[in-house]
Amino acid sequence: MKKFNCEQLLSKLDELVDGTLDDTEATAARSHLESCPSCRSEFESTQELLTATRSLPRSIEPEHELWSGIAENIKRQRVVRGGFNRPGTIGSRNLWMAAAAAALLVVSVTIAYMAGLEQGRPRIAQSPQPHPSYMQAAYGDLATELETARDQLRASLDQRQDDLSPETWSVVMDNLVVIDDAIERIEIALVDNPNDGRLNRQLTVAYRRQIDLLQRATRLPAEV
Amino acid sequence: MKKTALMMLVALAVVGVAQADRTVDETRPLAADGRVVISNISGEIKVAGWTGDGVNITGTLEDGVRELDISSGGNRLTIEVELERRSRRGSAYLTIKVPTNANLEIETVSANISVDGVAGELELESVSGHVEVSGEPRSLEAASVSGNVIAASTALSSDLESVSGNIIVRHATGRLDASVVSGDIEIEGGVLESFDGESVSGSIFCAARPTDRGRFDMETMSGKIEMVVPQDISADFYIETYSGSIKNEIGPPPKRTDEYGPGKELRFTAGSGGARVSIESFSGSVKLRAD
Repeated sequence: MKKFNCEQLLSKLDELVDGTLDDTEATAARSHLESCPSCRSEFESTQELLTATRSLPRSIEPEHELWSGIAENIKRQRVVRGGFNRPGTIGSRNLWMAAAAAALLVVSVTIAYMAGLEQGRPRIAQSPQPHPSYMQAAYGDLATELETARDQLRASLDQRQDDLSPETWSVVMDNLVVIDDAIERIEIALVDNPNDGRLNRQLTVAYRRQIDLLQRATRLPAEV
Repeated sequence: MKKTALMMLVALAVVGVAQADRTVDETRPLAADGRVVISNISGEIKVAGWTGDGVNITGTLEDGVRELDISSGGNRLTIEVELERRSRRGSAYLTIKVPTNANLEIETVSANISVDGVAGELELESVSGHVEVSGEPRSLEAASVSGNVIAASTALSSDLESVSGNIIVRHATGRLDASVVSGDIEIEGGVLESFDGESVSGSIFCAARPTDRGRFDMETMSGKIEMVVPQDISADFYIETYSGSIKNEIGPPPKRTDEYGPGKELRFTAGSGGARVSIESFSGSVKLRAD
């Protein structure tokens, strides 16, 4: 009977989940899963993810022609130390809604990206739009909502500047810049490699880190 | 007249000093598996497990601290350092003994936190203070923004976070999640069922061994990742970097993922496989070092 090791199993994971393996390989794969908790966990995660992605709309695709506007848009969205000077106020309820929405959106964008992968991903659309960010180009309205939620968190954090010590404020700002730099570098790399799954995944991870830090900073206890 | 004024000033100063050095020594009842919730702005919180009854609190309250508010209800004891009205400065240095199996929630701003010998669930959070844990808690969540998070050993389930501070684990066990932005992660030894290490620009150093079916996932954007690999390890390695380097002292060299691009990947099995080690970076270097 044919046997799979972990590497062979993982290389066939998508086909196994899709049910497109031939009988011999499917039997070998299932046999391996029975004896390998690590691969079984990976298999179950993939199954769950694909189940989730099947319920999502399939129109979220990057538009390769849009890259000329991306760099400009990236610069506009950088975190500038002490630069959160948006007018207006946000109540705490809105803040938490924004935080929750942002977290959900990061998950949704990740799943949407995986949906694209499942379809042989990513297909390149033809119609250019002015100045989108990579996320907007790739994920459309979901990304717009994510950026709106992120901006609300940033505005809320700005209002808390007087509550935090200069040292803490500086640490938060410096690290937001670190994350922004990472996002910028990944997005620039995506200009040349829009179909690179690893880069797309790293980009969503970087956005998640950004949201995590903003959420955490807005919750910090008052220091001064 | 001048003499009287001078004496009054001296008297006030003495009162001030006395206020700055108020001491605390209180004991309150708590069930052996009760929950202790502690908050303090600055100073220090030291907690140790003991076999005595209830919770014993000793320490010093400095100028600016109004009182130590201790309240209890149900299975829970709350210890809160209250500052003077309009004061944001005031340090409390507290040593708190709790039942060994108690659960802890501690929150501080700049105060350091240390916990030793408490076997319950620990939730510890500081803004700029360091968080240090020793003993074998059931579960551990520890976070700081700019302070270090240091664990002599970890729990069955541990979640450690810092933004710019370092995470240092001396002897890791169970399942460990560690996350930083610009700080470093250092796992100095131990055996783990799973390790999920994540950084943006900070480095990750891992000298822990995975269990037979253990699963290690390390990911960074621009930091370095170095894993010290035991010579007798049985594991499948999956390593990828977009533009960083990969150096492997225990197996084959990496391959380019694309003829023209900068990407590299390395996949190989050490021993008979079983455990799984995944490492991914954007631009950070990756090194597998032989133990």
